[in-house]
This record gives sequence, structure tokens and C-alpha cells, in this order.
Amino acid sequence: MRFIHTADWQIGKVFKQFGSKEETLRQARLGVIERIGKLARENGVAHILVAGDVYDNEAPNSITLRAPIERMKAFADLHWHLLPGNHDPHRPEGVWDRVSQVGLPEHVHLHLTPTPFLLSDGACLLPAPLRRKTEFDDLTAWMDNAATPPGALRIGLAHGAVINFASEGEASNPIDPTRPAKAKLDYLALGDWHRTRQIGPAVWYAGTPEPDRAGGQERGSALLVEISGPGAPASVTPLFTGTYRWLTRTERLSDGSELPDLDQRLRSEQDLSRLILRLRLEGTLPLAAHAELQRRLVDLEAAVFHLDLDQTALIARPTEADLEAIDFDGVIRRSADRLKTIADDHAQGAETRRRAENALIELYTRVVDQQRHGEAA
Amino acid sequence: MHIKALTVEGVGRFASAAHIDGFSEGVNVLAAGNEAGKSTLFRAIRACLFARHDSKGQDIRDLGSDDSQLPATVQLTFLHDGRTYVIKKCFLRSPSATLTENGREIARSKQADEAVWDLLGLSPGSGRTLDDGAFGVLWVGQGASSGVPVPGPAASSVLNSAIASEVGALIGGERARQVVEDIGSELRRYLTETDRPKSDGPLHRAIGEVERWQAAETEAQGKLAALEQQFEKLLQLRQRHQQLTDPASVGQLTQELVEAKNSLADAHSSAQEIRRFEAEESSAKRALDGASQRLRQFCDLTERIDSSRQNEAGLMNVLPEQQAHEHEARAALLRTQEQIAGTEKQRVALSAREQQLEKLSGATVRALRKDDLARQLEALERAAKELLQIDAQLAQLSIKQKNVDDVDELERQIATLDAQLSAAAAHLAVDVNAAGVGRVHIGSALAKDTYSAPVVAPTKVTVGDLAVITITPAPNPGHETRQSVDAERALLLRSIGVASSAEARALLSKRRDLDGNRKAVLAELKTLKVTGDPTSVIAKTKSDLAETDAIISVALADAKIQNLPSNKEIEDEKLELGQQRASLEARRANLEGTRERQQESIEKIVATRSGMESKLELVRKSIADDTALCPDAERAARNAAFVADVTTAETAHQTAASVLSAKRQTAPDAAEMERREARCQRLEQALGNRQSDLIELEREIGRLTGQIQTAGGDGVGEDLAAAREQRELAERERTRIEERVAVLKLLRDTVSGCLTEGRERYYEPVRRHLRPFLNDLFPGAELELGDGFAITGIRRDRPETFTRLSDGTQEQIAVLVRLAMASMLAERGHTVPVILDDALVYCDDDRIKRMFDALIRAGKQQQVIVLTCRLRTFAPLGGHTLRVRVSSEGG
Repeated sequence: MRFIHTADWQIGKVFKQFGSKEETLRQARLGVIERIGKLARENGVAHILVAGDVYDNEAPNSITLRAPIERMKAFADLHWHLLPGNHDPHRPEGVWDRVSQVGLPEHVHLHLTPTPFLLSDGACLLPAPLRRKTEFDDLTAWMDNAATPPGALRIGLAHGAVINFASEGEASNPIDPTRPAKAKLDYLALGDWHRTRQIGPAVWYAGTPEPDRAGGQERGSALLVEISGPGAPASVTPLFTGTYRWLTRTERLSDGSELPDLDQRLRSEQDLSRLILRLRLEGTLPLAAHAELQRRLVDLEAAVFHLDLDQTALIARPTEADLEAIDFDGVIRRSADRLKTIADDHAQGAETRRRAENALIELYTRVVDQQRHGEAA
Repeated sequence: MHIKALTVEGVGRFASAAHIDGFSEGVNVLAAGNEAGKSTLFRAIRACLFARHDSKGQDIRDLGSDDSQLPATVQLTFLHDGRTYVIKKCFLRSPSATLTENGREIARSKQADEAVWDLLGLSPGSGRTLDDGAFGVLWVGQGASSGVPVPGPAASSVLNSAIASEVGALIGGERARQVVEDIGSELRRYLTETDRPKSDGPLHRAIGEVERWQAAETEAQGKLAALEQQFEKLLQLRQRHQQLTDPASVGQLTQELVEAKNSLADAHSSAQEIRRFEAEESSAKRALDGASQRLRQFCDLTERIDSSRQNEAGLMNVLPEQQAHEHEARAALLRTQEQIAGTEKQRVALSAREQQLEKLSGATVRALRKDDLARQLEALERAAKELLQIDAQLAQLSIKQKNVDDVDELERQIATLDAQLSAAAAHLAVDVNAAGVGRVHIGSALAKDTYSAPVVAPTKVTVGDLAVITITPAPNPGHETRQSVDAERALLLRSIGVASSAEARALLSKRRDLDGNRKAVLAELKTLKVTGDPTSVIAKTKSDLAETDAIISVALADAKIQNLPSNKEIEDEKLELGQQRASLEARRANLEGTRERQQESIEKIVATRSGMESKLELVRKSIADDTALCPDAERAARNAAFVADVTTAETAHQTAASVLSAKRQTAPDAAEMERREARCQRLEQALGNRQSDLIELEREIGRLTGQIQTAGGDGVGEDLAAAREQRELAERERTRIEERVAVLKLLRDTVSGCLTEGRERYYEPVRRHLRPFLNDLFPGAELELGDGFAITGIRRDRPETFTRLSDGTQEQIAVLVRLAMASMLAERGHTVPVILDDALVYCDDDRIKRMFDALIRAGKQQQVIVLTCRLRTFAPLGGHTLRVRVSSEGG
């Protein structure tokens, strides 16, 4: 028995912080369905189990509602098993009733009740659909006593947080990680956790096929699962499905000498144009290096798909050379000295110091950088 | 630099050569009237020092004389660094320039122009006709003295170099100003002058975006919350719908209803049977009641016949007695009525007598007044007669007091005239001796003894027949006057009808007596209450007397007596008549009461008798009617038949009542019936309610379903997520801009602060030099200098903006600043002249004296040249007096 385990498509998610690139990311989430379909065909898979959160919310507009169904229609030889998750729980007249009313093709199956579903090749699917965003009971408990045909594989399909992992999960919907043993499951396909993760011998989170946030998985993936028979261990192989990589880096700077190396390292990442980079910079920099960093960052931003920059922990520390570059003496120099005094004064509040620091950078930029640019011109 | 001499030719009004020499190092004053050419000389000095000799600028073209074909030539001699320089420039025609140093030419043409600038420490300008440099600061053109001295770049350079040697250079000042200006420019994109977000600026837009997306998020949240509620509601409704459509529950309720209805039908059947038995019992009861009633009616009839017969006998016995009582009562009433008629006659007689007494009483009163009236009539008639007589006498006396006064006046005039005539006349004295006695006549009178009198008229003295001596007085105008007055008196006496004044006075006295008598008669009439004509009063009095007589005669005739009785007699009889009337009235009232009681008694007796007769008639009719219904012969048989009917009906009723009672004991009672009906209603209502609830529920489910589908179709979830992210983005952008603005403001304030501090330090030398000059006019005041030495304000008791000061004060300060700058330059070897062309025009008397002090103070260090047309005003300035010499003067 082979099937693909995927979850957390979250079709319809918005990415307003990306501005004009938003639609690209939205389309990428839809495109992943086709990639999964192709991977299924390539791997001789007939069933694709989606462990919840097909939609990002339970009130999508009519286009968003239809878009994934339309993508699946192109793969009529595959059976798509869709499970409501905490983002799209099944409620009367909710998103799934709307999907049903749209008219589903026969190869797309909605599992809206905890009822065993016999898969075509001797396996029985035990779904645990969510009926609300937050459940306080373990909805997989019914699987313990679920009757399935003799000799059939028992495959659980659920969405929620495995107990003891709740703090990392998105919702509190608890799932007992020992459920496979209690319910004699050959595999428990889970969704909700946006990172591919094995919880137990036969318990996996598939992760999202297209990442949607920093701090999660870098690349989107689905799982190819193969089980030779009842009681046999599951063979799980990750399949990369994502278009965009979400990379998070934290870099420490001290004097600016690291800048070329940092630049090179970041630029050596694969597919820069599909890289969504969250870069957090820490440490201190002289003003000249700070200005140099800003120029490099402007270039880097143009190179990647999106650069999310966090410089709140990066401190600009003017050196004597910086100050002399501003002026040796006179009004401008006295202004710079005064701002530096404020920035170095630990009796001042953090905001005041930070503001003085930025004012100093601004002064440096206006006086030195513009002067250099003027000379260059 | 000290100017020593100036020569112009072909310049302005100076077509021929004009010279000024003898400039001193201190204060120089050139005082001349208007259009003397002072300003021309001023422009000539400027052109000579700062204009290129070949300049064709308007300033240079204006310099030339209108009627001169010569070039405009200016030659200026000045001392600089101990050397004497002469710069001579010819403008417009054959332009040329030469510069000599201690009599030796050191430059010519363009080199000469620029050599002068080098001497003065100025950079050569290009394309400038007149330099606006340091000397422009110190030279004050006509009408420009109140302008704030703002040095140009070159001027600033000179001043800066002077100051820098003292305090060091103001390094970076210009860059700092540029930075402040640039930041200000950027801040103005964000903020207004009052530091509020500028409309349509980035910050304003960012704030607007945040508010817009907050509103959108709130709206989407509201919709989503509503959707969530609808989901919950729909879930509850679906559960309720499931409960209502549960078949087991519905079946049980339906079965209960069937059983309840059957039970109720049984109860209704029993009730119907009871109602039938009740009808039968009621029928039997009605039959019994009918038989009993007929028996009672028969018994009542027989009893009534017997009773009527007894009543008839009783009435027949009582009626005659009643008729006798009636007759007796009517006789008593007749007697009473006769007595009442007797009293009425007595009352009429009494009234007649009382009327007679009233008339006699009135006549008596009138008789008493009759004598008074007669006496009054007599007095009236007498007074009227006297008044008539007096008025007749007065009518004949027309003399008045004035007439007498006029006569007296004329007589006084005559007496006066006589005295005057006598005094003036000759005096006639005759002594008649014994022989002449009787023979001598003076006039017609016989003279005796002696005669002595003035001769005022021709007088004849007859001496017997011896002689007639006529003595005629001399003519005198007084005689004519006297005759005229005398004639006037005679005329007056005739007009009042008297012969002499004595007679006039007598008549006047008589008239006064008559007037007094008349007043006395009028006073008497007034006491008789007569104010006007007494005739009418007399007539009325006579009429009253006649009326009184008539009244008395009538009263006597009525009383048939001859004389009037006395008042006492009349009052006594009135008293007696009153007593009789009271007694009569009492008796009359008593009789009236008796009569009424008798009438009432008769009415009662008549009524009783009539009632008896009517009753007897009715009884007899009743007996006849009743016996017609039940003849005495059939009474017994009929009674037996009625009794038998009652017995039969009683038996039938008892049977029906027994049957009804037995049925009632076995049938459900009313409470039970009510319970069964209530149960049926309850169950039917429950089923109906369930159906209604179901319909309502399905309608509500349909409505909610529609709403949810609509909201879902609108993509409210996506909308909320989008609005939230947009709001977060907008907030980040707003925060970024706010932080940017805060950083820029901090930088601007820091640089501005440093710039201000530096400038304050830098300008201190200027202030130091300015202070003594300023204190000459404004003790204790400090000037505030801005960029480029510009005066921005003055601080006396409080800060004041320079442009808000009066014109005079502005002008004075502007001149003082120039003096201070020149003083500072002089201290550092850059001596420059200060030239004031018709300045200080707004000074009052006090200020101009102080300004003179300041100019003298300045003259100790530098050359000050004052050009003025106000000779008298500037006389107290002192200084060295300059004169313009034209070539003809100088020869």
C-alpha cells in the first residue's frame, strides 16, 4: 500500500507584507497540488491523504473555494482524501458544505464524520475531522473501537497537536501519540505542525507542502508512505514540493570586516530569486561599516524574492575615524559628539539612545556619504 | 583707508570740475541744500572704488552729466597703510583708469580697477558694476539708512576674517546650516509648522492608512464574529430540529392523544344520557307544578268569594255613620267663614281712619310752616322794593371818581397858574381915608380902609366920580394858559352835569352812599337765600303758601272737622288704632287656621266615604265575577277533581327523579370531564406546537443557512486576514515614519543648537564693539544677530523683533551696527570710512543728539563722512566741515 501524506495546504492564505508579490505566493500554494499529483503518479500512488487545513480559513471566497478542487480535477486517476482541520472545521453550512454544494468529482472524498472509509486496495481510512476550531477531547479516540474489515490496513487521519507537543502546535486539539498502538493503526497521518516530523514509528506530521512563515520549515514537502501489510512498519520518504524557501538567519557583526563574507554566504544560497530571507543582525558596527552594510542590503534585497530585515539588535557605534569623517571640528562635529554622548549614556532610555544612534547615522549619511557621492560624481 | 580728496567732472550736475578736499580722519560733514549734488558725489566715490572703468551699466550711465560731452571723471585720493593713493577713472567716453601710489602710477585700466580691490581686501568680482562688498555695508545711501546691513559674501569675508582672528573660524557653519535646511525640508514633507502631520504628507497618509485598515479589520472581525455566531446558532437549531423530528417521541405523544380522545368521548356519551333523564324529570316536575297550581287557584277563588261577602256586609254597616260626620263638618266650616268676613270689615274701617290721620298729620305740619313762609315773603318783597329804588337812583348818577380827580387836577393847575400870575403882576394898594370912604370902588366892589391885591386882570378903580382909573397888567403868556385850563375845567364840569367841583364831589359822595345801601340789601337777600333775581323766589313762596292752604282744607274736609287737631291728639289716636289692628289681625289669623283645619277634616271624611263606596262597588263586582266562575253549586265537585290531578302528577315525577339520580351516580362528574378535555387540548397543543416549532425552526435554519452561505461566499475570512495584515503593515509604516521624524527632529535640534552656540560665540566680537554705540542710545540693550550678521532683534526689557521697531529706531540701530563693524575692522587695521548720505531722517531731538555722540565716538577710530541737507539740525554735530568747490571758484 502506497499513499501520499500531506497537510496544511492553507489555500487562500494572504501575504500582504509581500505587496505586489502576494499573488505569486498564493498561486504557489495552489501549484503545489499539481506537484503532489505529479509526484503521486510518478510514485504509483493512488491515494493522497490531506490531514486537515486544506483552506486557510472557513470562509474563503468562491474562487478560493473552487481553486483546489479544480486543480484536483486534473488528476482524476488519484483519490484525494480531504479532512477538515482547525482552520477549516466542518460545521453545518460551513466551508465543507459549500464544497459539497459546488459538486465534487468522485475521486475527491470529504471525510466529514468519524466513519471508516474503505480504500480501494485493502486499507481502511479512519478519519477524525474537526467540527470546531478548538476541541478539548481527543477526536482520534473513536479509532480504538472502529471496526474495519479483517486484514485491512488501519490508517488514521487526524489534525491537531500531539500531547506534549501542544505548546508547539497551532491549536490545542489534542491527539494521543500512542493512538496507533491503542487503535492498532498501521499509520497515523497528522496535520497542523508546519514542519515534517516523525512523532512515533507510525506517527508523522507531513508539514506544509509550501511554507508560509519564517521560523517554520524551509522547504515545502509531502510524505510518500509505503506499508507492505498489516503490522508492517511504514516506510516514509519526504518529497519536496515547495516553490519558495523560507530561510531565517541570525548574523552577528562586530566591526564590519564580516560584511564581504556575510554577503557571499547569503548570495551562495540556492535559487536566490525564490528565497524568502528573514535576516536578523546583531552586534555593533562603526558608522562607515553600517553605511556599507546598508548598501549591501539594498543589493541583497534586489537579489532575493523577499528580504525581511531585523536590525533592532544591531548597534551603530561611531569610531573616531567615523567622527573625523564627519568633521574634525566645528558645528557638525560638535553635533555628532553630542549625539554620541546621548547614544552612549546608559542613564538614558533605550528608545532615546536608539534614536540618538539613528540620528548619528543619519548625520553621517548626509555629511559623509553625500560628500563621497558628490566627489564621485 | 581714509579719503583725502575727491574731484569730479562731467558727473551729474557737476559738468565742470568740482573738488572736495580737506577730509579729516574723524567726522566730516558736508552740509548743503537739496540738489546740491551730495548724492552724486556719493555715487561717484562708489563708482571710482568699485566699478570697472569700462562698465556700461545703468549705474554708470546715470553718473554722466546730461549736457556734457566730456567723460564722467572721478578722482579719489585716499590713504591706506600709510601710503597715499590716487585712483582716477574716466567713464562712458574714452574710459580709462589709473592708480598712483605716493605719486607713482602703479596700475592702469583693468589692473587699476582690481588693484584698488586688492588694496581693500576684496576679491575681484566678475560682471559686477558696483561691488556690494564690505564698503557697501558701511556706506549708507540716501534713503537706505534704515535697511538692515546684510553684508554680501565679500563683506562677510572681510568681517569673518576680522572675527576669526579673535575667536577662530566658525568651521562647518555653512554645512550645518545646509544640514538643518535639508532636514527641515524633509521634515516639512511630514509635518506642518506646528509639528502636526502635514495633510497629504507621508505621515498623514500612514496614519490614515492605519485608521482605514483598522476600520476594515474591525468590520471584517464583526462579520466573522457574526458568522461564528450563526454557525453556533445553526448547530443548536439543527440539534433542536433533530429532537423535534424524533419518531419515538412523536409516536408516544400521538398515542396519548388517541387515548385521551376516547376517554373524552365516553364521558360525552354519559353526559348526553343524563341530559335526556334530566329533561324527563323536568317534564314530570312541570306537570306536578301545573296540577298543584290549578288546585291552589281554585282554593284561592273560593276563599276570595267568601271574603268579599264578609267585606260587603261590613261596609254596608259603616257607610251611613260616615255620611253624618261629613254633614256636621261642613256646617262648622260655614260658621267660621262668616266670622272671617266680619273681621275683614273691621280691618277696612281701621285703614280708612288711619289714612285720615295721616292727612291731618301732614296738614298740621304744613300749617306750622305757613307763618314762616308769610314772614319770608314779606321780607323778600320789602328788600326787592328797596333794591329797585336804589338801582333807579344810581342810574341817574353817572359821576365817577375819575371825573372828580380830573377836575381836581385842573383846579390845581389853575391855582398854580394864578399864583404864578399873581407873583408876576403889579400890586394894587389903595388906602381909603375917611373922605374916600364909600367913594372908592375897585371894580364893582367898594373899597374900605385898605385894599391890597395883585393886578392880574384889567382892574378899574373908580374914585367917585372923580376918576376911573384902569389898571391893565402887562401881557403874560400865563394868562392864556390859565384861560385854556379854565375852559377845559368848565367843559369837564359840563360833561358830568355839574356847575362846580364842589357839586361834583357832593354827587360822588351820594353815589358812594347808594352803593353802600345796595350792598346791604343784597346781603339781606342773601340771608333769605336769594342770590339772583328775587322776583322768582317771591313767586315760589307765594305758591307754597297757596298749596299749604289747600292741603289743610282737604284734610279738614276729609275728617269732617273745622279745626286741625293737635299733633298729640293725632299720635294718641294712631296708637289706639294700631292696637286695634293688632288684635284684629290675631283674631283673623286664628280664624284662618280653624277654617283650614275644618276643610282638611271635610276632605278626609269625603275621601273615606268615597273610598267606602268604591270599595263596596268593587266587592260586589268581585263577588259577581267569582261566582260566575265558580257557582256555589259546583264548588265541592270541582275541588275533588283538582285534588286527584295533583296526586297523579306527584307519582310520575318521583319515578323520573329516581332514574336520573341513579344515572348521575355512575357517570363521570364535571371535574373529570374537564380533566379529560384539558388533557386532549394539552396533547393537541403539544403536537401543534411541535409542528409550529418545526416550521419556524426550518425557516430559521434556512435563513441562517442563506446568511452563512452569503458570508462564506464573500470570503469574509480572507478579508479579515487581509485587513489584519494590511493594518499591521500600515502600523509598521506609521511607526517607521514616526521614528524617522523623531530622528530627524533630534538631528535638526542638535545641529541647530550647536550652530546657535557657535554663532553666539562668533558674533561676540561684533557685539562687543557694538555695545558702546548701542548704549549711547539704548542703555543696557543687546542686539540679536542672525545668519550673515543680520539683525534679528533687540533685547531691552524684553526681546523685540527688529522689523517691529519704529522706523526711526530701526534706522538708528542700523547706523550703529555699521559704526560697530567699522570700529571692529579699524581695530584690525581695516579702516574704512562710514559715509552717511542724508541719514538719520527719523531721529527726534533727543535721539539725534545721542547719535551725534555715537558718530563722534566712531570718528575717534575711523573716518565718518556725513552728507546732509539739514544744515541747522546737523550743526551741533561739530566735526570738520567740507565744501564743494567748482572750478570757477577754485579758478
